[in-house]
Amino acid sequence: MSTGIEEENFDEETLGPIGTERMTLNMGPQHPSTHGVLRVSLELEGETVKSCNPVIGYLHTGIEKNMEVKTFNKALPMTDRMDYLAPLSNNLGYVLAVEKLLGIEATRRCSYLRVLLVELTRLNSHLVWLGTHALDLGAMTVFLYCFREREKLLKIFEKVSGVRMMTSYFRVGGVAREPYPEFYSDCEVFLKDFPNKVNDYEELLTDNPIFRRRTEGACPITKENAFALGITGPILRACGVSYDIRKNEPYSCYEEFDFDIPVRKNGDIFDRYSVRISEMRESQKIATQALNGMPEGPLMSDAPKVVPAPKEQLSHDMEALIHHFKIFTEGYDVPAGEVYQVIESPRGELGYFIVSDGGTKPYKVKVRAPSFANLHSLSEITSECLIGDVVAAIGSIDIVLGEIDR
Amino acid sequence: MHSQIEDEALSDNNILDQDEDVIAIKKKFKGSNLLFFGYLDQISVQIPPSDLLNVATFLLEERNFKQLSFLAGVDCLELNLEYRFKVVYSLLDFERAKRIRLEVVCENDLMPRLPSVCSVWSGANYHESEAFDLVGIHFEGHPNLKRIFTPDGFEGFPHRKDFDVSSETVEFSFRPTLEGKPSAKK
Repeated sequence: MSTGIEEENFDEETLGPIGTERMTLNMGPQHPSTHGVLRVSLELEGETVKSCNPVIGYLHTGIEKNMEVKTFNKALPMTDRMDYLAPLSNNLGYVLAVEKLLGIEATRRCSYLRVLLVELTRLNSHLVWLGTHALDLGAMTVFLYCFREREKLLKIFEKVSGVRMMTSYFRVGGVAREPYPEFYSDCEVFLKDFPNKVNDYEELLTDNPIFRRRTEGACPITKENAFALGITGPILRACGVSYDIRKNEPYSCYEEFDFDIPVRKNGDIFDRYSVRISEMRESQKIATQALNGMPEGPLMSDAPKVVPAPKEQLSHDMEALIHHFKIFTEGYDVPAGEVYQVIESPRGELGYFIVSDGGTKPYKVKVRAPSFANLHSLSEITSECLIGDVVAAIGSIDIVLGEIDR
Repeated sequence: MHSQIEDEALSDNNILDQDEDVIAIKKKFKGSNLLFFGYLDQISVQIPPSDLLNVATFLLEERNFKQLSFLAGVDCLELNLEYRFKVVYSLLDFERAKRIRLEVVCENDLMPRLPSVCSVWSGANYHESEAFDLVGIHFEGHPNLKRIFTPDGFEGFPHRKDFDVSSETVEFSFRPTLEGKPSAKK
């Protein structure tokens, strides 16, 4: 076969040794495995990553600024839009922060209901993570299985709050409305079946030699680096730190539940996977306990100036009508002060730092988004790894760009 | 903020008197002008900018505050305080599950500047870039201080209270038509 190239061109002098040149490669912002609009600027030598620089800001919508011009109640739906895979966790963090400033406490039944819903949200979020992470590594089946289960959860959320994803179900001092009558039995059916589903995922991935070879020992991070970089959540627990805000700084009655904190040692991609899989089993346990132990009693707190009275009361109670009118027109005054409330979101420490000047609107809201800090680890864990592992590393951090850019 | 809650904070001295970190900081930085506040079971320490790095290093190395949870620039323009900008640092000690907040008041209202704590907690990098981008606080010694959220060529700092949100300048470009450029008279 003639190549059209003369033979003498192939001597060593003209060809020379293969040169290595540093190449800059942009991955994203429109790339399916960056899980949103993240751009990663990679410096490559051959297939080895020499430096990796995440570029963010493509989804910045000024949510924190926007919350400053809304009353405390109206600012709540903004929180859903940040971490859109775990909207109820966001709601909970915000609601707890405002309740702390106001000095009111949710009723016991309300706390249990919140725990139940937040743990279902954690399952929801981890299912999306597991599906997309496996898809990035080439396992299509897991993705379809995960989304099948997630659909059931979204149906429950839709029935309970009216919306599939942007639930905004929690309110300061309670929840938006009483859950629908079959809510508890729907949850029970789902939770009873769920451990078998996790077994299915594990069969497809944990015992899969290809998956293990891609993930074991890949892109590890040490405990000390994780501390310094501000990393929290499953990534921190994968490198051997047993710290879970639900356990160590309990909120919303979490101290009454019996659950373990999954911890692994190596801090590589497989350990992060393994921690999240175990967390799904623990979440199922917590949700089942909340369901079975659901206390009797009122759902809304006794704070008439903050929590609107039920509709039946408005027709005969003048005071309730006045409060109702004031809550929905001008809002309620929140005592001046600063508060920082943390919760354990599916991605790590989600914190709300709220400054109030005594008015009806928050003076300043700063959201400590777990993904924002966790993304910082990307340049650390991908140095000197192969370019194919970058996709796996991004998936293992479990980022949500809505929360990073806010 | 604290001028408004000061009375409450002063009456709430119990948390401050018993807290071992507060005692340790008071002992170590005797000569410095530090203010301590306890509010809703949370402790915050106001320190002058010159002491920031010393206090941060002390808290990391001797009080075991291994993680900087976040830092946030706050524009206090509408709070009737004698200063305009402050930066709030929130620290966490994992072993004791203990949090403490540092507050640093920027001395210059027109050009707020603070030393960067990236050398103490490397995770401060992103958070300082955020505070620079949104509130306009400069961190001296930051390895790569740049705007991370706002688009290229963006002017102003959106999280400042005097940032104009009522309108946005939109650049129009007119395409010439067959009749020439569109004019106001038509």
